[in-house]
Amino acid sequence: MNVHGPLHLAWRYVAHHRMRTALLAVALGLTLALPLAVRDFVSIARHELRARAEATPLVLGAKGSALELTLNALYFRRRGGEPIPAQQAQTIRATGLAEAIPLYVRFHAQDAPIVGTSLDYFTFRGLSIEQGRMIGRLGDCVIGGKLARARGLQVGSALYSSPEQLFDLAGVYPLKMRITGILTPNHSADDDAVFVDVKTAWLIEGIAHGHDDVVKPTEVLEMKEGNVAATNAVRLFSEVTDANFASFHFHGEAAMFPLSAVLVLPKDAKSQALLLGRYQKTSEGAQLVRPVDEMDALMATLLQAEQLALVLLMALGLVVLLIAGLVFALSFKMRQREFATLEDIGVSRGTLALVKVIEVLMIGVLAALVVIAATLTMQGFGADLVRIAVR
Amino acid sequence: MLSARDLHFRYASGEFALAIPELIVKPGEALGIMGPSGAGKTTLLKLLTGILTPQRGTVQFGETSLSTLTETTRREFRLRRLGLVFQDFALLDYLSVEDNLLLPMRLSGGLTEDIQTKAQQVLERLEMMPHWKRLTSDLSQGERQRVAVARSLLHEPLAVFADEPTSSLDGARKDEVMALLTEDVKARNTALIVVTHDGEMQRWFDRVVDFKDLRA
Repeated sequence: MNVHGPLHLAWRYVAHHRMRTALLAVALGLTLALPLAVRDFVSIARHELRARAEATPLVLGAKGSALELTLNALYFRRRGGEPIPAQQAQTIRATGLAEAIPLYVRFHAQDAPIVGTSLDYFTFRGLSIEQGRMIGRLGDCVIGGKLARARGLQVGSALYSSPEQLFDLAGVYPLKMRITGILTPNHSADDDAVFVDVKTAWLIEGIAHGHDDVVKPTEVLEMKEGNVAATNAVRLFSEVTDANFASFHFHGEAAMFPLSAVLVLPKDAKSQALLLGRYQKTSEGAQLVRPVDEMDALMATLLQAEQLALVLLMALGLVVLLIAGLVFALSFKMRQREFATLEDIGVSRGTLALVKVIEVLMIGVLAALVVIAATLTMQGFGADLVRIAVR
Repeated sequence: MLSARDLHFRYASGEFALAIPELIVKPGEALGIMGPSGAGKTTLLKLLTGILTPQRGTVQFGETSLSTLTETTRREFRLRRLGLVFQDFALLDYLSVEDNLLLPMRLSGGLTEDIQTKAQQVLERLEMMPHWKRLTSDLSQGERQRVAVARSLLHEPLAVFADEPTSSLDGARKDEVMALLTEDVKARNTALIVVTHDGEMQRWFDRVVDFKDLRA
């Protein structure tokens, strides 16, 4: 059978009605792609979430939602629970059973989370500096490689912490931070974060500050229990520099400074078991959770949601396929006069059927391309979507 | 060349019936069948070309009898061996003039470079070459009719059947189209059968028959 003629005729029809064809192909393609995308997303989420959870043995934080605590500690989700005092990290260290890495995640800069921590965090996560150097002093920050590329940030440039509320004059003031280094991307939540020493996070919190020396009696507003309250004639520093570094100081008891979580790294399995047992006591002021348990629970919920979504999407897909069949049938019916014309010329029924089949196949191929594009997009950006979803 | 004998046809609805005792067209002959609109001329043309199948009688082209052919081979015969000019032109709006001209050849697998060259020559003669790449939906009625006439001649058919082939054309264009059709018949010694109600066309035919004289 001559295929070239029917192919040419079908192509001309599809090309002439390109908008109609494109709409039908995209509708079909997306309907078929959605269940695949959901499956891919859940598979990527399972892999991403579990891998980071498995790499983080224990997390200590305020009592409340264990999942919120885990997401705050692993993905720097800002909607964490209440802070815990810094002495909780010291308490862990004092047991001799584990190392403790403090985390304070409350503020953000250019919508990226500011993670207050210690240098041990970088060793623990295997993070290395791609450009510049590590944090040197108060006010320094290193940023994730992906964040640097996305925002065009470079070593030596400045980054401001964002105020919590724009019109809250008594609230947290922005701190101008010096970018000393850019981290090598490791395809995790660390790529999108701003890392500072935990003391810098406390500085943003307002627990520490630096200002001009109070030298004139007129600059003193009040003196109470050894603390001096100065008038606004005394300049507060919004940036730490070599010149003003010495003026920065903390107020209050360091042990009570806030942390959002503590990464706990037990020395061995026995130490882990002992610590978990200890923090099961209700008398403890914090909870110790295994991130992998929380992620498994989350995945179980996610899998149930996936099953439901797949059933719904497959039903939707079936409906769309039926509608597509109806669209084709109606389209061919509306073109009866055209087909009658071709029959009058002498075109065989087989050839006409072939023309119709080729038209349907062409739209099917276009729909398949949409499916492939959607699948590749999901595979390329699925991990980023997971991180955005949990942040 | 063409002989039709004892043709009897009635539509399934039973509203219209046609009986033609005999119609013979000699090689090289241009036959005009005249008659008023609605008389059944188009039905006769469809019977002669095998689009409609008579309940009785035969249509023969030389040695080939349409009644002995299957539906599939009858269509193939029509596609490859007959030239047809339909009253509604039978052009596809989403195709260009070029694609419409070459469509029967393309679908029958008989498209050659010679056919393409001939298509351009015929269009040139009908002053339609500037429209070669235009969609037929963008053409005027007269232009569409000339494309339909050109298409009927490309594959050098045994006979050309034309249903009111100049109905949308003015005087000069009518002459141009009829000259092309009759010259082709003479040059290749084939047959031309035209049904029309236009009395001015009579001078182009070797023989003119009144449709009512054909009927039983």
